[in-house]
Amino acid sequence: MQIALDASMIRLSEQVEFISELDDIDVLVRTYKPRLLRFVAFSIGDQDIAESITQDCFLRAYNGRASFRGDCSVSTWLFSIANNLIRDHLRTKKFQFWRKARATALDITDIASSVPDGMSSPETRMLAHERAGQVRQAIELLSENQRRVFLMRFTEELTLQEISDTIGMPINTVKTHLHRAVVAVRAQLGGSR
Amino acid sequence: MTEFPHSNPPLGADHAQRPGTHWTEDDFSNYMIGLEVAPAVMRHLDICAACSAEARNFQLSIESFNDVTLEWSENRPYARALVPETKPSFGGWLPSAAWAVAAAVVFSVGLPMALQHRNASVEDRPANVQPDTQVASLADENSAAAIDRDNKLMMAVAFELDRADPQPVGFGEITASKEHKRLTEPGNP
Repeated sequence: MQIALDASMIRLSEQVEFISELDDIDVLVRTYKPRLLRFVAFSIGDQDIAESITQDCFLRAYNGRASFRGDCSVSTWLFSIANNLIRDHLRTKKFQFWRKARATALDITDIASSVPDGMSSPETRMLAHERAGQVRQAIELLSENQRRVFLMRFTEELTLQEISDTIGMPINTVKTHLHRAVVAVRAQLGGSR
Repeated sequence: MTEFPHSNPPLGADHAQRPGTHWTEDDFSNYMIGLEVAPAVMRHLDICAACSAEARNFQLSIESFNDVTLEWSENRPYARALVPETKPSFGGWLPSAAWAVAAAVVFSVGLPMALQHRNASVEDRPANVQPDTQVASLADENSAAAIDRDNKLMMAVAFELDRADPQPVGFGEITASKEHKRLTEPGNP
C-alpha cells in the first residue's frame, strides 16, 4: 500500500515537473529547438519549411500542454507532434510544390561550414565535412519512413519503443525500417560487401 | 575484404574462430541499431580488423553528421515571439472581481437616481388625473364644442368687466346678469 502510494507520488511529482517545463515556452524552445529543428529539417529536406513546422510544433505543444499526461518524456511528446506535422505537410499539395522547387533545400556544404569548435584542425574539419555529407546523401535516398526512424534512432537516440510510440508504428515494423535504412546508409558509405 | 553472400546464416558460436567470414548485414545492422547480438558476433569484432574498421567508420560518420547538423540548428536564429505577449496575470479571480465591483457601483448609484427620477415624475403629474386620461382630455379641449364654450365664457367675462359697477357689491348680492344668462344659455350663438 505504501509502495503504491510512493510510486503515485513520484509519478505526480514528475508530471508536475513536466507541466512546469511546458508552461515556459522560452525554456521549452531553448531546450528542444536544436534537436527538433534538425530532425524536421533532415526529415523533409527543406530548412524554411522545417523552421515553420518546428515553430508550429512548439505552439501546439504550448497550447495543448494541459493534455500532456506525463506518460512519456517531453522530448518524445514533442517529436510525436513534429512527426504528425511532417506527415501532414508531406500530404499537402503545397509541400509537393516546394519539394519540387527546393528553393531552400538543405545544403550540407553550407551546414558543414559550421563545424563544431572541437574540430579545430583543418584535416579533422574536412573529414567531418566529408563524412557528414555522405550521411546526408545516404539519408536523402531513404524512404520517408526509413529516414524518420533512422534519424530518431541515430541522431536523436530514441529507443525503439519511443520511436514506436512517437510514430505509432509497431516495434517490429520500426526494426524492419531501421534495418533497411542501416543497410542503405552502409552501402552509401562504401562499407557494403 | 572477403566477399560472402548475404544469405549466410547468422553468426554462430564458432563464427569468431572461422577466418575469412565477416558480419552479415543482419549482424551489422543489429549491432548498430543496438539490438541484442550473440557473444560470438562481439568476439568477431575484436579479432576482425575489417569489420571493426567498418563499424568504426559507420559510427564516426553518424557522429560527424550529428555534430555538424546540431551545430547548424543551434546557430539558427531563435524566434522568441512564438506566442502573443500576455499581460501579467493576477490570477483568474481579478477580472471577475472587477466586474463585480463595476456592477455594484452601477446598482448603488444608478438605482437610487432612477428611483428619484421616477418619484419626481409622479409628483409633477396632477394627482387626480390618470396618465392615460390626460391625452383624452387634451383631445376634448381642442374639439369645436369646447372652443365654442370657451369663447362664450370669455365673452361673458369681457361683458362683466366692461359693465360699470360703481359700488363694490356685497357678497350676497352677486347675481348673474340677464345678458350673461342669455349668452350662457344653451342654443344661443
